[in-house]
Amino acid sequence: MIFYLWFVLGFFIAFVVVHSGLLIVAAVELKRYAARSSPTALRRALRSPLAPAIAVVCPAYNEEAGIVDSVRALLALDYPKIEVIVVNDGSTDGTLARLTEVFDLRPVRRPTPPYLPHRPVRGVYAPRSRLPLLVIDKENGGKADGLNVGVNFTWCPLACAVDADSILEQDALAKAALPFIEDPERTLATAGMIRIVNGCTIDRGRVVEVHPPRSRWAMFQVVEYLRAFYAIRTGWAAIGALMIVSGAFGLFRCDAVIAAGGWRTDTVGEDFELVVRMHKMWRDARRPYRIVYVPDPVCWTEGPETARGLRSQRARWHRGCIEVLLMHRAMLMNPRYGTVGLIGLPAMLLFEVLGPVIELSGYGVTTAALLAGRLTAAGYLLFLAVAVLYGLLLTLGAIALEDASVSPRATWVDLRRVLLFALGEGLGYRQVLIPWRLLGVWQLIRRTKWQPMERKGFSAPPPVTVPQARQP
Amino acid sequence: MSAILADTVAGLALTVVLLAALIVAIRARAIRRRRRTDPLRSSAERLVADFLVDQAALPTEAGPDERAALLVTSLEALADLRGSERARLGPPGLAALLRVARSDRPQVAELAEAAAQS
Repeated sequence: MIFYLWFVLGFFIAFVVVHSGLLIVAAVELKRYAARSSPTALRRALRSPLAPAIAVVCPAYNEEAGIVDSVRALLALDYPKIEVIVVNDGSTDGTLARLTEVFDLRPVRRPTPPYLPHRPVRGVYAPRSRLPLLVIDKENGGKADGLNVGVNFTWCPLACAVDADSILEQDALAKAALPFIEDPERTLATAGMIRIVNGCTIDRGRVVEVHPPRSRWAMFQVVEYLRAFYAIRTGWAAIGALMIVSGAFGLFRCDAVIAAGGWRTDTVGEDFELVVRMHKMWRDARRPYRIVYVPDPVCWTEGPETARGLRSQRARWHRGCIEVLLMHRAMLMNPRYGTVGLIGLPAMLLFEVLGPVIELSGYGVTTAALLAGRLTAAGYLLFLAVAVLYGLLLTLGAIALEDASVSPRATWVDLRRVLLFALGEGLGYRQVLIPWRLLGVWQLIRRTKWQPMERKGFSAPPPVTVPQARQP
Repeated sequence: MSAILADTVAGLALTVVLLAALIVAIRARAIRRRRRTDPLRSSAERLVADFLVDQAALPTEAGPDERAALLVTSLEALADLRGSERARLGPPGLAALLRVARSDRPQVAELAEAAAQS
């Protein structure tokens, strides 16, 4: 019993050591990024004839509530060559009708290109105006299938995968595209920062004021996202082991996606899987490549505000993580795959997949040891204190990194709220998530189909029709 | 085991307190800096705009905060200048703009020299 407690304590210490290392690497990387990025370089890149065209691919399934706002915001992004592709993934609500009404769509004839396999396309629509928008209506096949359709149909060399409920900051695409302009040969994908939009003031598909969410569930996610993006992903990218380019916002080279075979539809962790597969393929072929994390292109996404929504999301993420690790188990501890195989995937296995089991069993065994008289009450409380503090350390490190790298915008009240929730995360929230994450294992065994989150949408504007323009 | 746990908790708690103090210090510094530089920004923008429109004189004596605000505004303006506007201002004008913004940068002196020769 005591031996197991030592093991759990060792797990906590290993977590702190690995993630403190990532924090330090992330701090160095953020400093380097701040030194080389400037508004001037960005503007120059935006006007450069070498700026590659980007297809913003937005798969939408039953997104009637927010799709119009999202598309408007995407069309208004600050980037010279852009095409917005909305893939209506067999929605059963009025997603397509709403798009048709607002953007005055008409059917166009487009043959289906053969590059990536996907579910049959039912129709392709374009606006009568000159808006760079294409709406593809297809049979339901999931988000991965929708992204494959987008990459298949676009003429652009880069494809940006975004969720229909996401809002990109004005210059997010330009910043994410910079690594492709600087090193077009080696750059396969860039990932950007994702933040929780709940609580922010949205005006016509743009975030105009940043506030912490009122919902407690969403507030905990603000803390989680800060840690995940500022500390963990920046750190992994700095050592060449970035394995997740979030499905909510990621920029990919289309030829690389096609060469890799596109997003897999038989896993719920398709974004994670594609990036791991790219690492594998490029390392197997011994071709130089890079998958870059750019810390300041911000994508705002709606986090679940109910326990039910959050449970479904975390179960899906956990299931996806296990699926990907099983699919690519040959890479684990394999020196052929460098930092990905030797550090990234083992850390994912230990901290993400086994972590909840170890932590949950740790609480059980500690309580049993206390009841059996093998552990003193002081020892029990100290053990719980370690469980609370190890996560808090990383979260505070991430907040410090954020404040040091970008000028803090939040007020003192907001900061106090973030710090309180960072503390509260270890005092209940993380423990609540453990069984929800383990639900993902059960769903994996049962092969349960996951239910998409219900969206509130950012606003509910009255239907507005875009003025009709002349036929192209 | 309790002793090791106590040491671990003490170490973690100390790091947490230090990080919290660091966050507060960074934030306080950023707020102070913003309060100092924000009012300078609009006057810098006006000066640069006047200079670009009719080559009005830029201030030669400026404190570090004013110069920092001028530098940021000038760089943004330079990046925005295109075509005939850029040609009208010419290299000497661009160099002058940069030199006033941050006259102690050697690269700016070189640019000014090159502009004078051209």
